[in-house]
Amino acid sequence: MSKHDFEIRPGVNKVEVRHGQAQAHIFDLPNPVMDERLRVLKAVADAAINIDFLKLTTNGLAFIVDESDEKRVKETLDTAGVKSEVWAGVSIVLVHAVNMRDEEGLIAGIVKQAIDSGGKVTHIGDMHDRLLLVVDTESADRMAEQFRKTLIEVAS
Amino acid sequence: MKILVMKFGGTSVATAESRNTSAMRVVSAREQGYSPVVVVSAIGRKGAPYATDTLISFLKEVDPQVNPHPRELDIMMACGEILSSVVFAHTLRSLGYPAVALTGLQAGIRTDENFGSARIAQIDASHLHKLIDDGKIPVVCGFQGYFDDASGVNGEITTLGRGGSDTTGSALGAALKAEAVEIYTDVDGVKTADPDYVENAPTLRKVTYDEVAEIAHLGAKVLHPRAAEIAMRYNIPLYVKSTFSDAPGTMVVRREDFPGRRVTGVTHTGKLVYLRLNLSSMPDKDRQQIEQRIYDVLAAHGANLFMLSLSPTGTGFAVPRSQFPMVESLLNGLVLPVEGEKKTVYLMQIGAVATKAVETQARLLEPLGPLPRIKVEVVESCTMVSIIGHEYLQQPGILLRAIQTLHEAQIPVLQTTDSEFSLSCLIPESETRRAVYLLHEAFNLSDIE
Repeated sequence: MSKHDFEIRPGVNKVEVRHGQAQAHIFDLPNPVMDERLRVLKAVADAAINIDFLKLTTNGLAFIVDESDEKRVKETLDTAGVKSEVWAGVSIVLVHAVNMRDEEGLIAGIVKQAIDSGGKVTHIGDMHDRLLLVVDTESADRMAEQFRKTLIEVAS
Repeated sequence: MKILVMKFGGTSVATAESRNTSAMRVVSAREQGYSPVVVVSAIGRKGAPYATDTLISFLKEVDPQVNPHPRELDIMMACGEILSSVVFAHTLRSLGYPAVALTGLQAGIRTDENFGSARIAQIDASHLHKLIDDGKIPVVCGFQGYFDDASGVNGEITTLGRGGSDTTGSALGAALKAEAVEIYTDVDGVKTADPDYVENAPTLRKVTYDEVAEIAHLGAKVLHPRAAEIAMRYNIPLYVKSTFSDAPGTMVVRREDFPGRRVTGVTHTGKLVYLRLNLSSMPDKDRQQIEQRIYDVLAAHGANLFMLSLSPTGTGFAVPRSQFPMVESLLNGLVLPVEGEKKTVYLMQIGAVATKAVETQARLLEPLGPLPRIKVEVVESCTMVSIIGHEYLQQPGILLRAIQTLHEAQIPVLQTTDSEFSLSCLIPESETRRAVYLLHEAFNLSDIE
């Protein structure tokens, strides 16, 4: 019987990739920026588009949408009259680790590995049992493989 | 035989009166036909004479410069629960019930060898079963286990880390195939918000394991996520109840058994410091190497990061205020030689004004040529408020409503992050109370069941 049969092994125990996302990046919003961000979010909400991974940037905001909404979100942003870029080919790498907050340095270590893999990480979110990294699809599988090698196999 | 695991937290065993109240709950369970197995935390919370922190302070006071050895520290910390279990067992015996105090080892809780944060490897519940069969009430020390080391030393004491007694409760529930695990505390159950901030915040009658784990992850202290993970893994019904009231408490269930509600609650995390690195003026290759090194250093020193962001213009993260001095000492004046198109040496500077140490560093490195500075903007006294829910949070307009609520109240939102279960906003700490209250109202959580 292995040492960790009863509780799930500490550290990273599974890595998954979810493809099929698109990234929207809105920039150069005029002042007051927060009012403008809210105007953009309202336009997207009125268009009934689900968004995820919202991040505030210095003079704008960014979020991801399902790839099937790429065209609609671009049209919505154009209609709102804001400068934006929307591109498909975005994936989410999910790094599962139970109670990751309790393991000091684990999140920073995963981010370091993500940068090492050469993937373009645009966003990071976390839950109690996983870290979610938004990356370009081209490097998502490579990054996931690197995580499996360096964070799961090495620990085994 | 219907086994019921009943875990009592620090405040439930803090005084003779509270121990008596807790003991009467055990008696009541037994009279209802259950075979209770009790798990106890150390007596009282921080500052109490036998609380875990007090025991640690005995060692730290010897010489604050010398850290206690992890093995000895675990033995010391385990004393709090040993004392508590003996007193609680004696309380039950004085009421006429045959209770037996047990250490983690005596209860068969074998762990890995990580002092201070051990994971449970296996539970041999045979001794517990025998006691139960004999009509005894086992009173087990929470938070501790043991391992036999390879050199032949048997029974090395380990502790399970934060929330360890909740973990013991859930784990014994799983090992004993209990009817349920009841976690007794000083609140009525899992609430929609901190009742100190939202008076009359309702108690949730049901939550899913995932929801309660996320609530704990994002700041609420009601149940440790690890206990929820174990209960979920072994499908053990879990209840959070108050020792001091007869309220039904909160039942924690699988998601299939409770599709959940749109928004579960609003939490707030403790004191954070946000650091923002502007890396926009350097080549991509340099930026990537710098980010790599920074996160490498932070990982090596155990920094606990919140609100991470990476973008072509830079990176940002928050750390608990208690860790900020460590992070500041690591990054302020850090010299980062980078092999890009040409070799460049960068110097990090925390804050707008360079400290003497950074200026000295710069002067000493002058012979290397130009030394571009990476200035780190620091926002002190922040906190994170979070809305917990399900996929509903991704629906159109939800993020808008949350941010708009804060913006209309003129509460600055410094950053946001979200996941499948939560949306978090980084705000000034001074606005925590208002933000929690306003979000609670904006999502009609006062009417929740």
